Amino acid sequence: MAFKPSERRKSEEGPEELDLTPYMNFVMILIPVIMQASEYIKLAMIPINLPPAQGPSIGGPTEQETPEETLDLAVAITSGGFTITAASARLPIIPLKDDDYDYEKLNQDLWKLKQQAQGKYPDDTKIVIASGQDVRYEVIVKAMDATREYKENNKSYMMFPDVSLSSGIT
Amino acid sequence: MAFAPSKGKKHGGEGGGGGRMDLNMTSLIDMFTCLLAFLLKSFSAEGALVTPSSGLELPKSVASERAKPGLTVEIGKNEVVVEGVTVATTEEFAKTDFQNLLKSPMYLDLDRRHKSALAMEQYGTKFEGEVIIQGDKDVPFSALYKVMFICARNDYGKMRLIVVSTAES
Repeated sequence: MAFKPSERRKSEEGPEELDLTPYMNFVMILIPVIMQASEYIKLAMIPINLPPAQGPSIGGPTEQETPEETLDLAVAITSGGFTITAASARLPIIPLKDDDYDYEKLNQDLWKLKQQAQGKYPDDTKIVIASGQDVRYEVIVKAMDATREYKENNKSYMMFPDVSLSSGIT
Repeated sequence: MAFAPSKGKKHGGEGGGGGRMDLNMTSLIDMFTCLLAFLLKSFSAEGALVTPSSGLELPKSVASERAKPGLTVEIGKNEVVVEGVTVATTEEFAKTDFQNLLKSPMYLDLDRRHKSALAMEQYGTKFEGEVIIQGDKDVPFSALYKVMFICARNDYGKMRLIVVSTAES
């Protein structure tokens, strides 16, 4: 028995539209998932240490042991500016520039110091930041940035990433 | 001058109202595609591990080390908060001397948390002593240092300052 030819083609007019419902469902599920795992503000962390304990160790150094010379680098932040001390020497104060701290000069001075101290001292990556009580937290973070790395010709050089905070100034 | 009334409705009604009108989804799909592209750009495979607290203006830094979760201490302009619980006002906290800090609600709170964390060690949860400090950019150093002092006294020695990273990825 011969079947009657289909009339479907004849009855349909115009191009067939794509069914977008599955795509819409997929997107509606995907968007909340991605929104939950998105980072709109990129957060980072700065590891900090408390300052190392000062004073002689228990029993004191024996005569045979010669204490190793250390850099003991420190930056003091006061209302007048930055003061760098290293190997018992104090560098001239870096005064405020246009009522703000001169982070650029601090960065350059520390870079010069880093070049001189590299490899000579066992603590050539450590720095203690001593701050005045009223100094704002933002100033301390910016000072840490200035001590961490030096940038020149699109290259960055690591300086003193091991930061300790101290409240030496009252 | 009065305009002649539109004939659009009249023409539209001639079909007898029996025709089915399809919703045009093209513009909606365009919008979703743009939104998807934007969200994928800020997508992080690890998810947001640390959520910035509302009301805090974190300082900006070139640091790029990824923030990890830990015991959260927030130093806001007005109050100091440990894991969502307010323990002191910032002004009062900054003025308190170190001897009285050892009797402060924050010290007692951290002491309790430390003891319970140590008690959990027998079940295999190691106490890491990690604390993340979220400070407002305008808080004085004295408040930050006192928070660090209390944390250190309670064996929370691994301290991390949370900042907004401006480092290029």
